[in-house]
Amino acid sequence: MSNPDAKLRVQELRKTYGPVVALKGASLELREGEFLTLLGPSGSGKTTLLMSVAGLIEPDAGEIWIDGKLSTHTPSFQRDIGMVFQNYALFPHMTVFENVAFPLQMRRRRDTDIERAVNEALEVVQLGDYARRYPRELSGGQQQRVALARCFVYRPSIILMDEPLGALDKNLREQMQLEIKQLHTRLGITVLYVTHDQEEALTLSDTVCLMNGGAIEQMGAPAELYFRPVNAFVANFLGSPNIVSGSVAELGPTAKISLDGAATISAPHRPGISVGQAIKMMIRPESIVLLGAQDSAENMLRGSIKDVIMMGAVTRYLVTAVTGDVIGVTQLTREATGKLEPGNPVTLGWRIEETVLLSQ
Amino acid sequence: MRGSSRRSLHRGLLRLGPLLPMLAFLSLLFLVPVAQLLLLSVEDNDGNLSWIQYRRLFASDAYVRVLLITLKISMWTTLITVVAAYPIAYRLATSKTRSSGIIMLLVLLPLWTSFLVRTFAWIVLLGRNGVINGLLKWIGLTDAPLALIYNSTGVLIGMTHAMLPLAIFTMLPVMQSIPGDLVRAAGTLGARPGQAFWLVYFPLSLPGVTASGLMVFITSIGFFITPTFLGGNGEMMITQVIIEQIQTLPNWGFAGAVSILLLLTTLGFVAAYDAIFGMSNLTPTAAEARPSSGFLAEAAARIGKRLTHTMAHLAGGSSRLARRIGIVRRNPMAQGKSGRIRLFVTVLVVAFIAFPPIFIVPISFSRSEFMDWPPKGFTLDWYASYFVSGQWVSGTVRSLIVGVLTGLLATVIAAPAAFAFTRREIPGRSIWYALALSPLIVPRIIIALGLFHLYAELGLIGTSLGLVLGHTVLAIPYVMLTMIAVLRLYDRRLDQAAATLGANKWNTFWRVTFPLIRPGILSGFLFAFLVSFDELTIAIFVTGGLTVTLPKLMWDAALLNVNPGLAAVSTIMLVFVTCLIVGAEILRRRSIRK
Repeated sequence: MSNPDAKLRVQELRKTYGPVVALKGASLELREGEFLTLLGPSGSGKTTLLMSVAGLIEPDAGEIWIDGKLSTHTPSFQRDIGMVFQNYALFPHMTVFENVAFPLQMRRRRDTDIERAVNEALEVVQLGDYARRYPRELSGGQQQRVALARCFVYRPSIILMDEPLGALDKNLREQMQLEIKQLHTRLGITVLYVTHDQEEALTLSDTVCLMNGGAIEQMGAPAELYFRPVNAFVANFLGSPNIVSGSVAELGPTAKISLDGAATISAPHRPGISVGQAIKMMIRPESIVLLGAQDSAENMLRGSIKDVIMMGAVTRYLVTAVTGDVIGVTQLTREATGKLEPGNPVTLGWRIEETVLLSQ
Repeated sequence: MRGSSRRSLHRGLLRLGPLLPMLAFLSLLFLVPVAQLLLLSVEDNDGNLSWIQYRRLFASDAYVRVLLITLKISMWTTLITVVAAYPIAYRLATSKTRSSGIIMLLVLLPLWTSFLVRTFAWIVLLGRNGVINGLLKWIGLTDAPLALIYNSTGVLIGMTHAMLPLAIFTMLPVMQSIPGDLVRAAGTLGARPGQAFWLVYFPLSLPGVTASGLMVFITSIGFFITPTFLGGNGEMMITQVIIEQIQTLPNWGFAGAVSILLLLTTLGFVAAYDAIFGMSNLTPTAAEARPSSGFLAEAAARIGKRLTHTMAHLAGGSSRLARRIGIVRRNPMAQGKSGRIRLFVTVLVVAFIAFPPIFIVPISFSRSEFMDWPPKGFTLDWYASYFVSGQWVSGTVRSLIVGVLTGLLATVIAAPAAFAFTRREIPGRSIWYALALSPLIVPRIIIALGLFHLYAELGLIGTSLGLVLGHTVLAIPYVMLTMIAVLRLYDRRLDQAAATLGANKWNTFWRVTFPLIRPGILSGFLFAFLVSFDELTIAIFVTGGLTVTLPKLMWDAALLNVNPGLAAVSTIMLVFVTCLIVGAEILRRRSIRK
């Protein structure tokens, strides 16, 4: 765990506000150049964790190491971090140029160096022509770019971002996600990012750290969290999966799970389970296919169509299985698929690896 | 073509509708009398156009000297007040702890206390045998009493005390609108706390500071109670001269000329402020405030920038130095030495604001003939003589009646105007708005003299009606500003929701809007009541014979002899107003709970 090269190391961080536990012993590490996102619902502790790293909240216990230096109680102005705030926190009485120059002036750089660095930074975010404007004269997306430029202009060890795209509308948000991703690759910066938007987290991050109730539920690459969630919370937070309950009937090379005796499903074996145990499993709606009369699959489940919803590129089917569970199935829309109607019998099929056993 | 323009004119007048009562009222009882007074100044005694009054005004340098003294005292008052108010407002704006609530309450306390009562309190505190001299002698710091009263020290202390709440509440909204994230952002970008304050917070709070400076300054220019009781001959202010002119020998023309001098001086400062900072800064938020253009404004901006950078440089340097020689705390995130200094200053200023009126109470039981400290013995004679005197009791009752009627009239006139200003597109909006607020800016003495002259023609002198009308002129801007503040916060989607649910305009107003803004209307009414209950300037001229009010009685009595009887009346007023405020607060809470 303790890697001396880590840009940021957070160990067993705890914070309580009166009776409310905001963080209960969170630990994580951030490599140079890594983009790590703290994802979670509101109240999950992600902002508390970020603010502690920024030095704007003092944790009750635990350690924060930045660039190999113990920084738990260092004031934020000495931490060598950069932070992009939710509402950008641009200084309204300073021009764009003055805003971006501010951190360099605080570091007592020479005026000529400052001018060059600021102009470069503004070029990077394509705001070279806006140096003399005031923040209020810029659009939301432009203000966002100024906040980014102000942050990376002094090459801080880590850049922290607190829901930086929260105030933008959907189209602009997607465009800015792309720009942040490009900046990250181009400048090789290390980023700790906070969001509650799962798509944004999956789009941007090298590593996603999913938090809930002040603790880290799972940390890993986006695909890992999506396809191999460790528990029902993680599975439910990303996408809208089917979660089915059953009991372990047989353990061999694969595990056989009985669904109340009405059907049996096979899943990859998972350490720590035993025969007879009640268990939950996850099947992604896009992993399931509607089988034709002659088709077969590793896992099959019969049922009847409950509802068909054409959502554009994909069509969503709700199927009442023989077990009584309502299973969602997502397929690419084709004109021919309109044939299915509520009440039609149907057989669902998916592969063994696509059944993920969840811990309680 | 013609028809449509007439229709649009008609529609414009219709939109002005809710403003009309206020415009008519202020025109008749504010614009006309003030204009009349100013016209009198360019007439000689036979009514011919003449500059004789002005020639007399400038014949000797006596009046110019009084004006300069007035400006000097006002300038010092403004400077001290704004500097003392800043840390309090900063604390109120940036900290949401329970102690902030207490500070807020203590700062509001003197606003509920009669102006005369507060002045008498300073006589008790500052006198030769007053609280402070007694304390100094007891500690052994001084042998002979210090001269704290009947000189400029006394006047400055009294005026600063009177102006502090106004200064704090004028700068507070601007400070509250500065997002906390800005200072935090400066911290993450590498600014030390001192630098973050001087480079980010302070420049953004400046619009509030300058607005508060202007309000304190133009209010100070019109003062006369404080210099009368706490000053000596050298602190004679211009309003005192005008009162003397009218009371000793009613020379209207000359009083008009002095009024012109006072009015032009006041408006001159307002115009200079507008040129430098822009009038919009008087009711701004930090994000909206922008420097106006022009030579003066640019020069001021340059000087301001240089100043804040110097302060930031000093702050950064001193904290670096402190760190190097190791006198700085180990954990810089905890409250340190500067925090303790700030706390000390806060406690000192808040105590200065809140506690003086309390010293009035023990004096009211003293057997002494003077307001001496400590009180001698114990007697209820002063209270007994208040209650047996028909004059004092009837004066109190008259003040109450006039106050309630003023509150009602001002609310009825100002509330529709507040609705119009917040909810409608009104042609000529800024003109009407300026008119509605101008009774705040035009010195009260000018309004009082104008009304005196008008009432003399209409036979309204010595009537309660005349008092109510005059007090309503003064109360309208207060009620309107209170109501506008409430209406700005009102979520109009509630009205729209009511409309979609089938309520007509009448039902929407009475069932949805009115219940929600009732606390605002109540506090507007209360504001107007207190303005009237404490009003002296108009009362000095317009009352007479049997219609005197309580402040006028106190003023007359104090000019003859300042004795513990005034302390007893003051105590009664303190208790009464406190009951009123507490009662209103209970009513408000109950209506919110409903």
